[in-house]
Amino acid sequence: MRITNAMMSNTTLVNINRNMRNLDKLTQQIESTKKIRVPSDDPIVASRALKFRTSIAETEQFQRNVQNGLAWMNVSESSFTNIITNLLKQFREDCEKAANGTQTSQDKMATVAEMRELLDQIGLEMNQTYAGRYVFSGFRTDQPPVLSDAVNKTYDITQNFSLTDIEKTKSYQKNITYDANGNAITPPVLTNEPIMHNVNILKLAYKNVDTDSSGNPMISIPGYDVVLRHESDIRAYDPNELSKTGPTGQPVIHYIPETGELVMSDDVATNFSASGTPVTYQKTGFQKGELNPLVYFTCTDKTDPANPVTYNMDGQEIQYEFATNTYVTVNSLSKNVFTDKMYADLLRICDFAESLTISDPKLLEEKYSNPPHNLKGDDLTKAVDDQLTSENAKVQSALYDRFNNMLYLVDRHADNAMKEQTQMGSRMHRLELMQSRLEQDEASYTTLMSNNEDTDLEKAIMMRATAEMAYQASLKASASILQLTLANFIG
Amino acid sequence: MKVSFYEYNVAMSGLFTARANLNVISHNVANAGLPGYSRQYALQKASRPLSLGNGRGMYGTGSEVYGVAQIRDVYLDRKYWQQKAVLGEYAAKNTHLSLVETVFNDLSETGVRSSFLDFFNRLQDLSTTSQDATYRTNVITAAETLAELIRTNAEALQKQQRDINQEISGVVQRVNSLGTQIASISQQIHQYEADGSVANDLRDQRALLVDQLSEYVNVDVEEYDYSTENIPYDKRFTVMINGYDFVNHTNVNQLTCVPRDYPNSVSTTGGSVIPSGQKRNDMDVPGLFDIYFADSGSSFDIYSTTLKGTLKGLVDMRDGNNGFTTMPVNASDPSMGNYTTTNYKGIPFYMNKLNIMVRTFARAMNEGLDVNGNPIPDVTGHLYGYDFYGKTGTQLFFSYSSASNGALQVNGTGTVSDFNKIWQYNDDGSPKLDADGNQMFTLDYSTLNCLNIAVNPHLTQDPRLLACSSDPTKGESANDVILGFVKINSYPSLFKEGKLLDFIIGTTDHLSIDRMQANNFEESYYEITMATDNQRLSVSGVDINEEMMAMIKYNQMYQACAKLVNVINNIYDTMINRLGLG
Repeated sequence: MRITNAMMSNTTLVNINRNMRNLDKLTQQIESTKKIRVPSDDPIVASRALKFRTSIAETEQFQRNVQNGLAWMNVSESSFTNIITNLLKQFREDCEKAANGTQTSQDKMATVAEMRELLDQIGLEMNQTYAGRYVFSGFRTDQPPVLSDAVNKTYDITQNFSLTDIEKTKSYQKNITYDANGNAITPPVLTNEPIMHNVNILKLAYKNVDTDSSGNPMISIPGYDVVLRHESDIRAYDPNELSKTGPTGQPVIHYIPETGELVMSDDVATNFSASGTPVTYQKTGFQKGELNPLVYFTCTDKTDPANPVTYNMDGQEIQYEFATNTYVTVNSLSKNVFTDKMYADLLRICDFAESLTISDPKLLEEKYSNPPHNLKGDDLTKAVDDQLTSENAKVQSALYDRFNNMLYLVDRHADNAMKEQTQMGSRMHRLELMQSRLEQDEASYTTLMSNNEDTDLEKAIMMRATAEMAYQASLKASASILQLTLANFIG
Repeated sequence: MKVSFYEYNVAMSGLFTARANLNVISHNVANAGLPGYSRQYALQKASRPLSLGNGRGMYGTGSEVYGVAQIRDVYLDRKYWQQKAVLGEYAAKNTHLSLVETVFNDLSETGVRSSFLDFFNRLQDLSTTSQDATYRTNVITAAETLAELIRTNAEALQKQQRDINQEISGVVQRVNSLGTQIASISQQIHQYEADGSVANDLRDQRALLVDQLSEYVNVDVEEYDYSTENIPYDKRFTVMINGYDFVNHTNVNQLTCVPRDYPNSVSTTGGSVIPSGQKRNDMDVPGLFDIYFADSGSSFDIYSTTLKGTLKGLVDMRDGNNGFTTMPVNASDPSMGNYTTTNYKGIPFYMNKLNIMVRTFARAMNEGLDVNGNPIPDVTGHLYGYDFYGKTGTQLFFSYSSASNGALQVNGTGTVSDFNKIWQYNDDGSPKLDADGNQMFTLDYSTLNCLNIAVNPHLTQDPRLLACSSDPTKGESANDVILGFVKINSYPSLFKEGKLLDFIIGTTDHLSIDRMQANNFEESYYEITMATDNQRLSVSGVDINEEMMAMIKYNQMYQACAKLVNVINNIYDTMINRLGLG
C-alpha cells in the first residue's frame, strides 16, 4: 500500500488521541475511585450501582427507625420497671403493713399518705414522654394518660365491667345525713356507731357523673336500674334497699357519686355477666389526677351537643417499618398496662382509708352526759371508751378487709402489667436483632457496591502507567517520524 | 531522409516535458496540505515518430505532455460518503444523549432517584413522629424538592429539544449552502471541460463539498454523460439527498424549515405556501421544524427510515418517542390513528417517561391507585386521609400552572379542589353519591405533567394540612396514611415496569444503553471513515518523498536535455564552421 504524508499524520493523530483518551479514562478512574463516571460508561454497573445505593439508603433509614423505636421502647420499659418492680411492690408492702393489725391509726395515716405519694408517682410514670410525646397514649401522644390539668369537657364514657371486677368487701358509713326514707337528718348525727354492711362494689373510673334534670345519675347499665345514693345516705349500702327493684322494675344498682362506686346486692353480683357489661355514663369536667378518658375509653365528646365526636382506642398500635413491609409495634397502651381498674383500685383504697373516721371523744362525752344517757364519772368514761373501742374495731375490720383485698388486686394488676412488659421486651429483642441484621446488611451492600463500581486501584495504576508509556511512545515516535522527508536530504 | 536541426527539437521537447512535469510536481507539493486535494500527474508520451522509409524503422521525435490528470478513486469516495453519514448520525446522537444523561445522572446524589428516596425517608421519619411539625415540613420540603427537580429536568429536556431544533435549522442552512456551492462549481467545471479537458482542482473542491454534505445527510452522487456528437463534452453532476433530487447539474432544490404548531401557514422563499404542521408529541415545544423543498413545497420526509447523517441523528433525538405518542392525526377521526415519528428513544420518549412517572406517582399519593387505576393494598390516598385539624386531605401533588391560574380551591375546610375533577353519574344521569352523600369523582391526571407537577401550595404554607391518618379521631400521632405512602415505594405493581425504583432505573438503563451504543457507533465509524479516508489518501494523497524523487528525476532529465543541446550545438558548430576548412 502506498503511504502518504497525510495518511501518516492522520493515523498518528488517531493513535495519539486514542492513547490520550485511554490515559484520561484511567486517570479519571483513579482520581474518582469509580469505574464509571456516567451510566453509559457501563450501563450494567450503573444499574447495579443505583440499586445498591438505594438499598444502602433504605437500610440506613431502617436503622434510624430502629433507633427511634428502641429509644421509644426504652423509655416505656423504664416506666414499666419503675411501676411494677418499685412502685406497685412498695404499694403492696404498704397494704400489707396497713392490713396488719399492729399499726396505730397514726401509723396507718402515714402509710396511706405514702400510698398516695406512690400513686402520684405511678401517675407520673404513666405520663412518661419521649421527645415530648406521651408514650402510653397510643396515637394521642398529646394526651397524658393521667390528666395533668383540669379539662372542662363533657364525655359519654363506656366502661366494661365483668364479674371478676366486683370486689366483695365491707362498707363503712359514719355521719349519716339521709335517713331510710331519703329525708335529710338535721343536724347530722355525728356520734352514732358506724354502719357496716357486706357489700359488692364496682369502681367507676370517675366520681360525680352528671345527673339529669330530675337528679338521676346519667348512667346506664343494660338490665339494671341505677339509683343515685349519696355516701352519707343510710340506704346506700343497705342490702334490703339493694334487693329492691328499680323504677323500671329491673334489679337496682346504687351509684355513689362521692366515691364513684356502684353497689349491688349479692344476688345481682352473683348473676353479673362474666363476659362483661358496658357501663355508659356522662361526665362533665375532669380533675387533675383523673384518668384521661380519651386515652382509656371509648368516649363521645358532647361538649358541643350538635357535633358529637366519638373516640375509641381501637387500632392504636404505633408501628414503624423496620424492613420493607415489616412492621413492629413500638408502643404499649396505658389502658392495657396500667388499667383504669388498677388506677381506680389504688385511688379508692387511699380515699377509703382516709375517709374512715371515728367519733370525736368530746362529742361522745357530751352525748353520754346528756339525756337519755345522763352518765357521769366512770360510767361516762366507760361508755365513751366502749364506743371508741367498738368504732376502732370496726375501722380495723374494714381496713383489714379492704387492704387484704388490695393485696390480691395489686398482684393481679402487676401480673397484667408484667405480661405487657414481657411482650414489649420480646419486641425490643426482635428490634435489637433487626438492628444488627441491618448493620450487617449495610456492610454487605457497601461491600457489594464497592466491588461493583470502585476502581481496582492497583490494577488501574498499573494500567495507567502502561497507558502513559504508550502515550509518550506515540508522541516520541510521531515527533521523530513526521519531521523528516526526502527534502531534508537533497543538497 | 535527413533533416537539419532535427535533434534540437527532440532535445527541446525533453526540456519542455521536464519543465511541465516539474510544474505538476510543484503544484502537488504546494497543495500537499490541502484537504481534498488529489495528486496530479502530467500525461506524457513520446511524440509522433518519423518514418525512415523503406523498412528502416522510425526516428523518435522526443516527448510531449498532452494533459494533466488526477488520481482519484470514485468508489472510495462513495464508500466514504456512506460511512460519513452514519458517523454524522451517531455523533449527533452521542452528543445529545450525553446531555440527556447529564440531566438524568442518578449516579450523583442529586438525581431524581435520590430525591424520591429522600422523600420516602422523610416519610419514614414522619411515620415515627407524625405529629411533629418539623417532620411534616421536612416531608413537604422533600416533596417540593422532588417536584422541582423533575420540573427542572423536564425544562432542561425541553430546552434541549429547542436547541436541537435550532441545530436542525442550522443543518438545513448548511446543506443549502453546500448545495449552492456544489451547483456553482459544477457549472464552472462544465464550462472548463467543454473543450475536453479535466478541471482537476475544481473537481477536488466539489468532492470536498460532498464530503462535508455527506456528514449532514446521506447522499447519492452521479455524474451523467450527456455527450453527443454536436456537444462532445457534456457531463452533468447530480446529488440526491436521501433519494430526493437536491443538486441537479447547476440547479439546487433548496430546503426550507416550516415550524409546527404555529397558527399561520408559511410562505417560503421559493414562493410556495406551506401549512404549519401539527405537533407530534404532547410535550413538544412549539415551533419544531418540518422540512420542505422551498420551490415545490413538497415535503422532505424527516421520518424516512433510510435517512442518515447528522439530520437523522438530530431528528431522532428531537422527535424520537419509541413509537409511542398520544397525538392524533385527526382529533375528530380516531381511525386515522396517532402521528408517528421515529422509534428512536429521543427527548419525547424521556419526557413521556417522566410524565408517566409523575402521573402515576401523583395518583398513588393522592388517591392510592396504581398505574392501572387499581387500589394499592393498605395505601390510603392523601385525598382520603385527615390532616392535623381533622379535615379531609387535599391533593398532595397537582399541576403547577393551574395553581397560578387560581383554579385550585383548597379552602380552610379542606374540600378537594374542583381542579381536574371528573364527576361521576349514575346511568339515569343523577349524581353518583358516596356513603356521606357527596358526589363521587375521579381525578384527571392527563393535564399533570413533568413540567407542571407541584406540591399543593396550601401544604407548603401549613404543613399541618398534610393528612397522616385515615381516622380523624385516632390521635395526633396516627400515621397509617404515611405508612401507606411508604408502601408506595415498594409496591411491585405501581408501574408496568414494577416498583418506582425499577421504573427509574429502567429509564436510566434505556438512556445509558443507547448512549453507549451511540458512543460505540461514533467511535467505530470514526475509525472506519478514517480508514476509508486513509485509503483515499493512499491513492490520492501527495507523498513528499515521491514528489522529491520525481523532482530529482525530472531535474536530471532537464539537465541531460540541456547537455544534449550543448552537444548538438558543438556538432553544428563543427559542421558549419570547421568542416571543410582545412
